[in-house]
Amino acid sequence: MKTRENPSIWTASRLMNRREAIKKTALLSGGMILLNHSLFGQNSSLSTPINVTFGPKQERLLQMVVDTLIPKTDTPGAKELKVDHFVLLMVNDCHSEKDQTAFYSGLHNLDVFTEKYFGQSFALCDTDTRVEALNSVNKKSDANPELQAFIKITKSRTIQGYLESNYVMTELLPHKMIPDPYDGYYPARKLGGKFDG
Amino acid sequence: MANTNLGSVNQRSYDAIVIGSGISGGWAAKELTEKGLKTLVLERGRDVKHIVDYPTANKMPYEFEHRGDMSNAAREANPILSRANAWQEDSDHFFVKDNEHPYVQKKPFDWIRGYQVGGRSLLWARQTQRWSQYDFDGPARDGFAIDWPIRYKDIAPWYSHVEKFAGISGNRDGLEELPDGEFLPPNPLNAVEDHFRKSLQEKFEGRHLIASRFANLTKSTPTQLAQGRSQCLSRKLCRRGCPFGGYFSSNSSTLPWAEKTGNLTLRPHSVVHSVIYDEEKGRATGVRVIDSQSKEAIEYYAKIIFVNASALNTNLILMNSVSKRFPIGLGNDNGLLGKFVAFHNYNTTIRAEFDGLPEFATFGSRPGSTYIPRFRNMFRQETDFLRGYATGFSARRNLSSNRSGIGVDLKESLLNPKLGGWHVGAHMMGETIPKESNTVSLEANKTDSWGMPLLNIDIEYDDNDLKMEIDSLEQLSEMFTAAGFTNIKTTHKHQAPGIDIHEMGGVRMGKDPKTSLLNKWNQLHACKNVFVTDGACMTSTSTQNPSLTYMALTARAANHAVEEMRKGNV
Repeated sequence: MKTRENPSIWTASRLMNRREAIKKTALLSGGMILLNHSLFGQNSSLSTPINVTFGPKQERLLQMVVDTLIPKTDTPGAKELKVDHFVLLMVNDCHSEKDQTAFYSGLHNLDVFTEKYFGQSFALCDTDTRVEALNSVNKKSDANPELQAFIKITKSRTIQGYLESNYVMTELLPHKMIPDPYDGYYPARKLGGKFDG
Repeated sequence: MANTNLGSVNQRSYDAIVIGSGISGGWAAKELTEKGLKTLVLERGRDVKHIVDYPTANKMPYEFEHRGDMSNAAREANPILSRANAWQEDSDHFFVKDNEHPYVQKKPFDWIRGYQVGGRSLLWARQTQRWSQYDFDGPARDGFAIDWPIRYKDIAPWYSHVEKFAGISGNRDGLEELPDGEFLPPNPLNAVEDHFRKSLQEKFEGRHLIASRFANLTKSTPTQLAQGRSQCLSRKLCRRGCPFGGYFSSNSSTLPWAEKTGNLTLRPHSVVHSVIYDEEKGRATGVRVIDSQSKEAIEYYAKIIFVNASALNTNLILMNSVSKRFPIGLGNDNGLLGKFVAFHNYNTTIRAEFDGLPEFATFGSRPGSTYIPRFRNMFRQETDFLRGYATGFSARRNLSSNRSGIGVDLKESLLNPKLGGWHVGAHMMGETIPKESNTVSLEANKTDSWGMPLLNIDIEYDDNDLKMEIDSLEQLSEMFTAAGFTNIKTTHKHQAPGIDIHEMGGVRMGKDPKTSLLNKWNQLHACKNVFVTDGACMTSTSTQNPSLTYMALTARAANHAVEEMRKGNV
């Protein structure tokens, strides 16, 4: 997925001060496996929008969401492949401020939503209810728009992070650095085409 | 400034100096060194050695932190560069960053640059269509710019010369408007591209869809093997630099070839300040260089000088080369240096779907695509705008997954992609008319870190461009509809000039020194031992991707230069 935000909408005001960034890094690394330096690399910015709390609780919630989106079956799911780390990395490094704000606010709204419609926090819902909850976010007209944006961003980045993970690209859908020779008249049926012409 | 530790004048003297190591500079270096000239190639950027300096060439997608995306911080810092499609996480190191080399935009102009050995030849789109007689006839027939001093027959043998060496794939289509060349096997068309080709043939007179001609080796002949280059493997990762030499670049081909002659000296980190003109001798005697690292000024001397700094930087260097004889730029007696700059217009795209040919799909990968040569105003003026546009076209039928589910359903769907329908897409490549008002000039009071004046770019589209854009969408929609394509969606962009990365002109060729800067051999009319053979020399732009023509003009001019030197004329 390519995000090509218009750079002109950016202003210096979103540049977060260094102390704030360091504080958040410390917060995030405290007690969690998350956000280690090898994950984020030296050049990444941990510019979570100011006024948003993102600590161990939110981290666990995000992990549950990616686990719900692509669960473990007989092969690892998004949680096992640490796709939640990738989602955060991409949101922080490659999304617009608007997206970032929606993502973090939307995450906070997930429990509000499940409390209202399912009578409990997301964490307490069973697997089927979690799937139903994520599915219903876009169907409820009164659902928080930021929650809807959070689901949309998280889903698309989870799919990307999963499909473009080392594991999937080597074990499940092997990526060929040297592609097959081209055939422009390849029989569709050999690719399981629904057309058998 | 003191030239400490830089050796004597003798040690800084060569037979030839080539300013720039990109696609045309590399050719000048090859031709001149092969003819025995001790040649100094000056490159303002760092060295990039073939294979050794392609750090991302063999990385898997998951080895890139952002899977190819540029970060917001990088995009924010580079609003101009962020509009270049090829700027991605794997090619970032080959692009100039906005703040490294500022310029002044009188009007919006996206100037995309690659300051390193090989220049943008590492990053080019590798499309190599020849010009025809109708392209060289254009300005004279239609009354714009000035007449070209050469015709197709003058350049045809040089097209062959560079095609054989570079390795150009193509089909012999027998079209007058897009002459055949020396081709390696063509790129295969797929079922829907063939269908579109036949549909055009039946329903639109004079409109031909062909396999595009491009500089990837569909086969490596002994000529390319001798360069250490092997067949293209269709990885489509050219922008990273190719470890197989599967596509032509200065780095993979002309520069190592020149080096093998023993006559090449390559000096990276060399910002050319100006060409030195000797008032008494009445000729250029060398160039002034600023070492980009030490910022020391150095002079190098030669009998002939090739200026291949890329179109706009060539203008800048010549404008900065002032002397008593040439107070407003070297060879600029008529004041036209920096004027009549033009480019290509890529402002429209169109896409659609196709329900036909369900029995076929595409499999594997290929380096090329398909091409529809210009059909508007080709043999006579037919519309209310001048000239016309070529069209790039491709069809694909991919495996894809339904992503609507959540949970086990989604996972199953992602791991079992299904064959979708056919998708087709096309884009225009329009000729723009060179105008005196489209100019580049020096910003006298603003200089860069090396003390060079900044370039002021004052270039814009005109009504002719807009009419052509609208026509392209109308015609392509009609052609798509006639082929049975459905759900047609057109996009009319309003991007700034420059992003086509085909900037041309400012030092145009012509017959008359009163209206042009260069003669038919790319020599400055007023200073014959200086040759300009990059995009700056272009009198008009036609529609074809220009690099092949720069290469042919360079080889032609370099061989002429050697002949003239031997006769004692330069």
